[in-house]
Amino acid sequence: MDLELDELIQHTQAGDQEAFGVLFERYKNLVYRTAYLMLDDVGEADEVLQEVFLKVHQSLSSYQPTKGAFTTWLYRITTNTCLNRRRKKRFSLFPLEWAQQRNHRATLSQQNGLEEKQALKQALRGLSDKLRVVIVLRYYGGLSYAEIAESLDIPIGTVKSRLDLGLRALRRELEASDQEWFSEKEEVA
Amino acid sequence: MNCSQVNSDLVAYLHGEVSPDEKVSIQAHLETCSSCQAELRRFSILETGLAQHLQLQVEQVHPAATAWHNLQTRIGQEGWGNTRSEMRSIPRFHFKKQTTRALVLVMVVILVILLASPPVRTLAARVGEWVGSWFRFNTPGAESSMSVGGFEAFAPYTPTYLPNGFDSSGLGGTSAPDLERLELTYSDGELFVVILQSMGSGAGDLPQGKTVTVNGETGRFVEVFATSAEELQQKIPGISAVTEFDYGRTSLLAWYLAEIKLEMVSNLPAEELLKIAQSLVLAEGGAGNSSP
Repeated sequence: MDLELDELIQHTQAGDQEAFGVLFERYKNLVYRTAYLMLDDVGEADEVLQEVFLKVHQSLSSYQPTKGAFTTWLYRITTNTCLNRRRKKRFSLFPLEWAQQRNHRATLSQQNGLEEKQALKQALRGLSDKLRVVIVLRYYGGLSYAEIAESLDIPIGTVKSRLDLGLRALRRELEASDQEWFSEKEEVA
Repeated sequence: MNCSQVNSDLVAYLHGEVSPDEKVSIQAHLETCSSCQAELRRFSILETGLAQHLQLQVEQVHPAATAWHNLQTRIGQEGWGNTRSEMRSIPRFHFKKQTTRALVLVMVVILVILLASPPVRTLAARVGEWVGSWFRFNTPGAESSMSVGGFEAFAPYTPTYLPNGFDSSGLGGTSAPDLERLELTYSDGELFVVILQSMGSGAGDLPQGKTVTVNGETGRFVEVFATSAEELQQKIPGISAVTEFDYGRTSLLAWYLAEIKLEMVSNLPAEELLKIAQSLVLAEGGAGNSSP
């Protein structure tokens, strides 16, 4: 089946399982990989993939292409599902010495001089969910400010300030954990 | 435009998300300012590295081979038609309203009688000792609530007011012979407030600063308490300063409520900080199972 997106959506809305299967194949990586970058866990990304496409199946009849792109709508469902999972996880039960352990881990990371990839990975992990999600949508999804605003249901000004804060936080973290990170690349450039 | 103004718009400029006038002004400044040029280059390097890093990360992961099969099974269980309406039609037991109320009343009476009887009271106390006391934190205006066990030394305070968009972003505690400390952090991603509560001889005196009144108690307000996460950690050892926050203008409000020293560190305006301080109430507490 090689249909345009509009046709696929119409067929799925009419109950065509094969069309829904094509839609799933076409967008599974987008959902799964966004979830993985948000949650850092392949198992959870698999669960989010299921949850998101169940929601898509349930509510595709109410989707109106005139109100926004399908991918923006899909990003909205995916990021909401991920953020809800993060919220539930965060507020389970923290051990008494949690704060101390967190500080200790940060110090260890600095002492070890992490490799480039690890440094970026750690820096991304240090971001709050609100900053991380705009970074993922911008630099993995390639979304514009307007598309991010629509996906997250926030004003464009907020997207602008969160991207700014997110990048500055990543810079600070990289400069603190791996002092060579920028200088090496500047030399290459 | 000066360096500070240009710097604050550099990321948006890099993304082409500034107005045509701003773009002209920034470009004019960049032509003559090597420091801002270097800043721009660093952001550009970071962006390239970030996009490459995320791409590399996702190239290594793939959805489970059974993903479509699992989805079909789940949808099949709920029916390929309108899943929501199918789910709603699952038969459930229904009681009349009066019957439900009567049952609840009977259960409450039985529970009160049981708890009032001495053997059960003792048992409840023992269970409480075994699992430790617990306190529940509800975040106003957000879905989140959490429970923490083990803080037997004192009942913590929790805010009933927070600015719009604020949610819990961290909870921690430290325990030493002369100091029990609990730390609650709330933020909207940009603005934050950390509420530190300490008890014990290590809690120390109130800092020098402007005298303020918080619900009848005398407190101190220190404007620009810290200008970086490092400075904050030097002034309050053990505080988990979160890297993404802007500590450029962090203030402190400190006061004592009986034996507990309260310290609120925030980049919020002073009046908002005071409003949160005045809204603090004791967290809901108890013994036994701490699950919400």
